[in-house]
Amino acid sequence: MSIQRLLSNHKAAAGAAILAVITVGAVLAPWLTPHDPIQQNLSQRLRGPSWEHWLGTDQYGRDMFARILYGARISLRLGLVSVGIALLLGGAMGLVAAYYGGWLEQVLMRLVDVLLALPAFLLALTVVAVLGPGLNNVMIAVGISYVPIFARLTRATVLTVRELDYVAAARAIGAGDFRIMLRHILPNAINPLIVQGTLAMASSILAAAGLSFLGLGAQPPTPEWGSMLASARPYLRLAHHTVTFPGLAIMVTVLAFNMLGDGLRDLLDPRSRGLHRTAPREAGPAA
Amino acid sequence: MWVYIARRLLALPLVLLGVSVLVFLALHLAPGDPAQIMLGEVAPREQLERLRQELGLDQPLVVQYVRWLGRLVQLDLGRSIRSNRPVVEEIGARIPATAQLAATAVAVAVAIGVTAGVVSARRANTWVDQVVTIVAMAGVAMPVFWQALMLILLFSVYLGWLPPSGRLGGWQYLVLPAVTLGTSAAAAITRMTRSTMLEVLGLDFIRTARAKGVSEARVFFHHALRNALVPVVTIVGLEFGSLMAGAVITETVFAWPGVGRLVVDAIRSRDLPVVQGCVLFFAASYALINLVVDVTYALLDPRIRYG
Repeated sequence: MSIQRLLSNHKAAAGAAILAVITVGAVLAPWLTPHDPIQQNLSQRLRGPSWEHWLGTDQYGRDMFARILYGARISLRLGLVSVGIALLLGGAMGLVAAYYGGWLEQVLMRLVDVLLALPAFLLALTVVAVLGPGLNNVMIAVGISYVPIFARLTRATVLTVRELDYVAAARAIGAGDFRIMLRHILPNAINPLIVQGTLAMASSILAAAGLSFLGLGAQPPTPEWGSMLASARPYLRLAHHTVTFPGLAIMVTVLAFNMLGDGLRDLLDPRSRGLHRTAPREAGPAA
Repeated sequence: MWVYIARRLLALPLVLLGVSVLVFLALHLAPGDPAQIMLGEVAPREQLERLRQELGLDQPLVVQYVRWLGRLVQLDLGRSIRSNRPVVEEIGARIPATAQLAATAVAVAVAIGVTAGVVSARRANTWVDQVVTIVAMAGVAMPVFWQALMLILLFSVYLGWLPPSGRLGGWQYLVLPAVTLGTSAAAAITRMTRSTMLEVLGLDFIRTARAKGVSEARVFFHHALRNALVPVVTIVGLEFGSLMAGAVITETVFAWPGVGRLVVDAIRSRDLPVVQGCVLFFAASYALINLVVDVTYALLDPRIRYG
């Protein structure tokens, strides 16, 4: 898809623009702010926004702007890794299930049913309960919680592509299963996955921030937005900017991914609009 | 219809059985020895061994599972490591608070969502519609915990109208948690109401109603809204999933003594029997609610007949 076409959809363009700003901020964080996100400076505690500290300082005198910039690195990585896990595992399960069918499909899809017995966030919570708290475990947990959704989506899409003539043609000229799946079927089933992957970025960032807020994800002093909110909470009365800004950061990022995802759906996958059963809705505020 | 309900009811225990295997395996493969956690780091060796035997931790996994399942069907989920009270009692004591919060939140969500959706559809493609759409998108992106803190900031800290947390009786304590949780589900209901309203308004019977001179208000509320609400029921059911998830966070922020807060506390203190119990409770209620929603859906729309 060309850049022009992406920009022709206002929603997608706006989402992509916001994400570009966030990504640049995350990558260039050390050059954009002179402050360290972790180094404490107790003489500067809980200062409001000023010329020196654009978004004020937190309860340990750390610059909020720096912490939010560095936090963007963590949130983007969280989203990418979780969605990567979900896409790889779920995609593979759905592809194999749809391609081979039979008992393998039955086993894989019943496993998916069991995983779907819990709402995604609660599934992630359960996985964290097993693995223990921590940033890496949260990525794995959130990733696993979206596996069933991607497995179902991939299976549904592959089932239709599998029956097309060119797949039969590829088989006729002697292509192996593996080659047919990866080279012929997958590229033609990829659009819905791109759309849902983008929307899942939003929900997984939200879920990971929620888990960190509950104290199960990133631990202080890591500048993760959810855990920043949790540790600033006692200072809500004194200095609400320590709570307001990390929340705004989460909201803008999630909103941008949702907008991009919605726009991409209009562009790439117009048929799936309004499909709610198989596709994950965009990030529920649940988390 | 009855065949459908019966089949769904029969499938319910199967899904729960699957969940029970998963939960059991997951938490038994978890790092950490429950006996060690119960007795603390410095417990004497013999005491540890005795407790492991009591808990059956020295048995093969399959034996442990079958025994555990046997007790599970008798609603015996073991005892909390932290409080040493039966897990069923611990959860049971928290259910009323969670049920109250969830029911109020659903009411808030439906009230806001349907109203906003109807207004949006009535004024489709005007600035009103745009504002509703933008607010709904922002609402979807807003983290529940942040919204909770912002509401506390406004209504407890600045205005002093409502208590910031707890559940000491009195409706004041319910308002902020229910609004937080309810608005989080309202966005999806708004969108669904809007799109189904617009769809229904384009149908032939609406044109017929208008043609025979039915007033616009009656067409809108009597003819269109009633038909548009059917898919909304499904969305309410689907939102229950995110509502349960949201309840975990909302209850934690507002110190609301429900099952959601119980599970978070249990995870933090590695109280595995309680975690197991809560997860099973969530899975069971989620499955039940979805069943009720699907049946309601079929009852509301005579065109739907599940064979």
